[in-house]
Amino acid sequence: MTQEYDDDDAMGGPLLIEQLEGNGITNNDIKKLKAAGFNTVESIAYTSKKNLLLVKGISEIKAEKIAGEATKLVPIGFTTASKFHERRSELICLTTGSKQLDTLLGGGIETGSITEVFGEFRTGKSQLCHTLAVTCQLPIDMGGGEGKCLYIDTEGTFRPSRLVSIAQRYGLEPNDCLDNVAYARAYNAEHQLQLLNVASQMMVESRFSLLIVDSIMSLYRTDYSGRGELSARQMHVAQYMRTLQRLADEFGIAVVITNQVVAQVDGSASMYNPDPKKPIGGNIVAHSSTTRLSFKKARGEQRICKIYDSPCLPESECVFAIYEDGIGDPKVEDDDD
Amino acid sequence: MRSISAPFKPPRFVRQSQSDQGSGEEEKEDVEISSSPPKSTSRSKKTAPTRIYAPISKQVDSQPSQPSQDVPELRQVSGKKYVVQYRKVTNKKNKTWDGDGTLEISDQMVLKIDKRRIVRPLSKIDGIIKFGGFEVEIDYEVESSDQPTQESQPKPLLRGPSRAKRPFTKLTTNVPVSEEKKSKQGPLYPIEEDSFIMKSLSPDHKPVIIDPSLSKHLRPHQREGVSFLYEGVMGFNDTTGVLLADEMGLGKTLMTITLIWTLLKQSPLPNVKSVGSKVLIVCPVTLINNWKKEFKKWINLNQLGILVLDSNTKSDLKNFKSTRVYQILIMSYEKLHNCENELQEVSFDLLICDEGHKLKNTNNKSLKILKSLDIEKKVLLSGTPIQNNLNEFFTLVDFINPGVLGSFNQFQKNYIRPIEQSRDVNCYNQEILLKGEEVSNQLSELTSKFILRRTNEVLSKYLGEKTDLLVFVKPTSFQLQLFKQISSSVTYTTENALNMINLYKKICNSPKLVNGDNLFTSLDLSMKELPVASGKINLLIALMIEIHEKKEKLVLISNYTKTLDLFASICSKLNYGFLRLDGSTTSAMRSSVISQFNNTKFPQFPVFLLSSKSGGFGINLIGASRLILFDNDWNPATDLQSMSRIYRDGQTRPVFIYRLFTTGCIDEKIFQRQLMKTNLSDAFLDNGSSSNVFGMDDLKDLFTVVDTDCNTHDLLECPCTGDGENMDVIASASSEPRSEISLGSDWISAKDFQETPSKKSIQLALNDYRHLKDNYHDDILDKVKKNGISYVFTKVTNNDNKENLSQE
Repeated sequence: MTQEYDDDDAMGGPLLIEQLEGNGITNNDIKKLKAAGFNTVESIAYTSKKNLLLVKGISEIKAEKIAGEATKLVPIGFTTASKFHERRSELICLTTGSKQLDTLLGGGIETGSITEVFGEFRTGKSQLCHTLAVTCQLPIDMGGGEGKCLYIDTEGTFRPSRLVSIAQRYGLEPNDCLDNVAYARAYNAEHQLQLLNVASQMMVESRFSLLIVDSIMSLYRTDYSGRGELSARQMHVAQYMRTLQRLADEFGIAVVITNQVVAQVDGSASMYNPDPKKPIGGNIVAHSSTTRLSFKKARGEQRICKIYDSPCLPESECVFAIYEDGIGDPKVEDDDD
Repeated sequence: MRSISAPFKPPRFVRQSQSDQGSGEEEKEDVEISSSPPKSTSRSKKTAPTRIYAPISKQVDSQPSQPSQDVPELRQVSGKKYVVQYRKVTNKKNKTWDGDGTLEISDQMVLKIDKRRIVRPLSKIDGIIKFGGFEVEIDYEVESSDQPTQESQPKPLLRGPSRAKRPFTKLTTNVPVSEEKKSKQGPLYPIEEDSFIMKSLSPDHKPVIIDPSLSKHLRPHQREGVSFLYEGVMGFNDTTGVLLADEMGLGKTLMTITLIWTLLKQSPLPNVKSVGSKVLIVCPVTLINNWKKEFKKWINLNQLGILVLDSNTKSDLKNFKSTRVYQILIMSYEKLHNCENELQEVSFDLLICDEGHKLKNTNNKSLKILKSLDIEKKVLLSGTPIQNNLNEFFTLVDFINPGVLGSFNQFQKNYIRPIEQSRDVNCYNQEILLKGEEVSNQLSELTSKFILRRTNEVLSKYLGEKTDLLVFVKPTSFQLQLFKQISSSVTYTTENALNMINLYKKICNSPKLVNGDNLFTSLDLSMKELPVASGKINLLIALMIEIHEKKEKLVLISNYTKTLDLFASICSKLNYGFLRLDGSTTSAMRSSVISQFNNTKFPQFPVFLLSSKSGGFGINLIGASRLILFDNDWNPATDLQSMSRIYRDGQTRPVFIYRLFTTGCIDEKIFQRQLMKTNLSDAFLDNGSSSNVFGMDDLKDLFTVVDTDCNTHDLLECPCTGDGENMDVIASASSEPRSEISLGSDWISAKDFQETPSKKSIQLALNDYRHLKDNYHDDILDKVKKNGISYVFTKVTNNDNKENLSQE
């Protein structure tokens, strides 16, 4: 245990907000900030002053002071591309369980960014989430993140028994694995956002490596209806995506969201793709997810993953498969024995 | 069940927790130590969510006496002091607070902002209070004596660590520093009684312990091998290359896998996680799947990424380089040529060359590419490292440890010449002989640091009984006639010698095979019909039937695919199901064919047809317990490889290996050459001048057909009567000096070569064999002896192990 935390030190975890105390910032101020979901110095440094003012009991003078202190502790200035490159090369990636999919993604699900997975039903979105919930706990040299998983479920599709069988594949103690997954069922869009505030609190207290939202848009789809509420919905979604990104930046966790699709009825149907689908959530979701993956069903247990949008990966696709023990590579015939 | 916000506890690996109690205790201890702080955190956490939604005043637990949640009665609040936020009165829609001040309540309300002081009469203090041009909201109460600026809490509340990911800081400082350090540099696996710990170069290094799940499978000689490999590549002897030249069947693959797994996961250096992260395995195409399978067998593939290069080489290699998904790259020697440039970009930490003797030629392109990759740590695996001469030996050694033998010219001067001179058949000069011996001792000492060779003898403990049967069969009269006709119509020249040899070999196998032979058609002997039947075929059919009766599986090996075709037609005539592996079998098919054979019970696929050229190496056919080597190759190593297919680790039944020779014909002659050659390579250093071996006389001798029961036995000039007793015992006498020299296992004195080489070495090689003319002491052979058997040599090894094995 000791060793792990020492290792963490080298990696540099987030700074607790208590660090800010002193210099005219009182314990009470800290409490107020925590109540509003600011748990780390990073979260203060990354947020806008306007948001700080919205916290109950923080005045403009105080807000300025707090932000000033935070920027002293958190480097938010320029750095050279070479340093950044170095840091990125050490980036932890979470394995998906399928080597081919990992390769396609350049090592796995990237930490510190948002990965969106969309596709029709039964294309393996939730299965990927379940597998990741276990693999994120693996040691880093096995392609894990050595951290807990936070699972926000909006569709009610979370099945712990799946985790058990996936844990067995990796030779992990299933109960330990289940203990390391924090699960919350979101019941409405507001609740879904509120859960993130609690999430940041939990992430301060113990090490998390993955946040899953399965699926991000389903509650919005019904909580807001029609064109009339579209702008309100999109603003809320944007807020939500921003909070996710903030958590990713603050805690360096990987954020995986799944998304539903909608039929594209207005033209664009071609001979090759007679029934085109596109992810919902509009431009807001499209812009704020770093990597977007499109899942399609193929023969039998096989699924096709296509890179839909990524800052560095070329547009390409690969085949993976869903098994009892989670996502894996499609079995080759001569592997059977 | 743990609380939802309990700190992350890495899930235990099932195998570890089961296997060792020691670590279990440790973990318990850990939990105990850590139990107190997490409890406190978890308690605070339980309140955490409620705290967020509760009024702020509620949280001020430093003042538990104050019941501040309700709007205080005016009388009660008098004399109190509050921290407030203020702002100028504004009509803005989204109002914010400008700053903080204090509000003192006595008989009136006094608002202090910086140095300004505003007074107003008492009123209710909930909600927003108007103070002239200001609006004020109460935040929380302070002790009246306190200045709001001094109010910050003293440190104790800051008990939490500064870094979020270290909730146990407090605790680790309690642990003595030395212990903390230890745990940081500690080994990956707990040290136990039967732990297999590598030697360490320096006391500062942390122990490297082989994964217990692997080391429990390792046999003593394999443990020794793993240590040797580890010490070799880690530079214990100032070298970083190792040649593992164990004979096949000793588990070179498992040893290598253990080494790879250890180097990938551990490092003796403190603060370094692993010695290497990328490993390149180069092997013949046929073995690629074998390697993959072995990895799968020993290591959970979820913990290891193995990339096998096949179709889209370039993008695969790019991915291998840029991601951490794969650690191991398996490719064939041929593939190396296609992707030289891409390979250059990957920085490998360890190179494994399976069947490393493929790199024996200096001009080999694969060798050049591998050299240019400049991988520091190298392991060469080869069951038969020296096949022809010392030059090849130099090439291999210079590849794994550049410069260790000096330049080639030096090596040639210092070693090759003296040794070759002393080994020359015609050398009788005592001085040269002594010199040669001395030099070869020197050489073997020099290389013993990075060459490990063990023979199958160490394995004998684990293998059951093996019976070698050399069966000599009389040729049919048709065969004899054919030989006669050919020899009368052809003159031997060096040009057509090779064709002649092939033709003769074909006739020995079956006259039917000469159909289509160029030389034969050119002779135009006007044979109308060539029969299938030959001495060997006749015996083979009888043998197959008898073995089938015994309900044992059989492997049939030949050099020629055409002979295999013959076997196939025989099998279908006998109505035996068979599987076949030859050069035309695709690499994807290979493994499935082999597993099909090994995993089925007797009545299914009783026969396996194997081409020795394409399937001789690395294949495991332990499903069978009988093997018939139908014809032999010039290279004894090839035959040895072929014959060891069924006598391998995992074989549970007694093994019978039949080698068939046509008495007095080329078959037997080749066998005699082989015996001489095996001896040479047993001596590790071969006679370089092969021209000595093959003179014109020898050629002529090859094609002579001798009419005898057993030409080999005649050569031995053995006085025995063929009843298995009273054999010439010179052989055993001459083996004594060998053990005296005792450099490793198989060195023999160059002196042995002084005597007539053929007889002596054949004698040596056939040492321990029983010579049987009539009664073969083998029920199957005795049954089929009418089919032309003229002589049998038998040797039984390991018959005392039979019981041990069956007990296991």
